[in-house]
Amino acid sequence: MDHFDDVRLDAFIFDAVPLGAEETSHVAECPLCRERIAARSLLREELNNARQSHPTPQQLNRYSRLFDAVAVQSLGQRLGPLLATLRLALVMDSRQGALGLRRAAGFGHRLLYSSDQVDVELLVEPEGSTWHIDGDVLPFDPDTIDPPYLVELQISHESDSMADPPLYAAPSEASGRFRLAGVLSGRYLLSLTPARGPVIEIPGLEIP
Amino acid sequence: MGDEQLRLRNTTVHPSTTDLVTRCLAGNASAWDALVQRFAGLVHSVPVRHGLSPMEVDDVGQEVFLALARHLDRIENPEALPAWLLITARRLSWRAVQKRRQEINLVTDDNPNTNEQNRDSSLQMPGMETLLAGWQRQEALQNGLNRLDVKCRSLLWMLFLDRQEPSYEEISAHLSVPIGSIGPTRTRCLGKLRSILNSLGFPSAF
Repeated sequence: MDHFDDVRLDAFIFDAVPLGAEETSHVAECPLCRERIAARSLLREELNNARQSHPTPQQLNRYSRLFDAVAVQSLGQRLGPLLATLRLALVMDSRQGALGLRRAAGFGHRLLYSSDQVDVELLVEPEGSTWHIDGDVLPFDPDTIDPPYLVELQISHESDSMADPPLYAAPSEASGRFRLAGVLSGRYLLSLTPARGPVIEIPGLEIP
Repeated sequence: MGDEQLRLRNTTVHPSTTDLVTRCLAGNASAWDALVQRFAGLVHSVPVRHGLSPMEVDDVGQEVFLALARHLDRIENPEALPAWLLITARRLSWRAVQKRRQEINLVTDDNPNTNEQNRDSSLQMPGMETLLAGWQRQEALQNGLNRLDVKCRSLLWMLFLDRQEPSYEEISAHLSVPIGSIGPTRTRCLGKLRSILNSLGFPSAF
C-alpha cells in the first residue's frame, strides 16, 4: 500500500480513527510512517498540554494585579515567607587539617554548612573522573522544614538571582538524604527545595 | 545533558524580555501585563507536566508571578528570565506534588484499603531535560500559532486549545465551514504550522 496521506494520519492521531489491518502492517514495515506518527503524537501531547496550560482571562487578571500589590509594598515587606531562602555558610571542611593544611586532592571529603535553622552535611567523593555528593539535611526544628527535598546543582554565578537551569537534580529520600552522581568539577550553587519551608541554598560549592 | 539543552532560547519577539523587565522596574504596569501574557502559559505548562490539577496549576502560576514581582528588582540578566521562571515553577510544582502525596498518605493511613497507586497515578516528577524540552516545544507552538493566518489560527484554537472542547458541529457553526472540510483544513493548517516552526528554527519540534 502507499504511504499514509496527511489527512489519514491526522485522523488516526487526532480523531483516534483506528488503523485497519493493512494499514497496521504497513506501519510495522515503514520507519518513515512511524516517524510521522511519533511526531504527530508529540504534537497532540503538546497541544493537550497547551490547552491545560492556557491561562484564563481571570488568571491573567489576577497575575496582572500582583504587580500593583507588590509595587506598593516596602522592601522589608517584600521579603515574605514565600520562596524565602536560607543561605548556609561553610563551618567545617575535612580537608583542612588541624594546622589548616589542605590534604592532597583526589580523596573524599566532608563539608558541613550551617545556618540558624538547618545544617547540611555533604560527603564529596571521587568516582572515576567525576564526583558524587552524598548529602544529609538536618533541620533543627522538624516542624519548620519538611523533607523530601528537590536537590538541584546549578553553575554558580556572581549573582544567583537569575541562574541557569540545574545541571544535576534529584529528589531526596523521605529522610532528607540525597545523592548526586557524575558531578563534574566546578563551582556550584546547591539548592534544596523542601516540601515545606524555605529553600536552602549553599552558594559557591567547590567540587575539586 | 548538552549545553545547548541547558539554555532556553529567547525567541525573537518584540518587545524583548529585557525591554519589558526594564519598563516594569520603572513602574510600567502594562509591561508587567505583557510579561504575564508572554509567560503565563509557559509557566502553567510546568505544573501541568507534573500532573497537577487545574487548581494546583493556578496556585503554582500565582506563586511564580508573585515571586517574580518580588524579585524583579534583583534581576540582573533579564534574558535569563525564562530559565528562572522554569526553575521556580518546577520548585513550586515539586512542593505541590509533595503536599498532595502527604494528603494521600493521610487518607491511606485513615483508610488502609485505599489503593494509593491509583490515587497517585496522575502525579509525575519530570526531569529537567524533559521540562526544558517541553518548555521549548510550548514556546515554539505559541510562536507558531501566533504567526498563522486568522482562519487557521481560529480553527486550530477551537480544535485543540479551547477548554470547552467544542464539537465539530459547534466549530462548523462558529467558523461557518462545512463539517466535512474540518479534517482536511486541519491538516493544511497543521502543515502551515510545521512550516512556520521550521522557519523559526524549530525543525525537529514535531
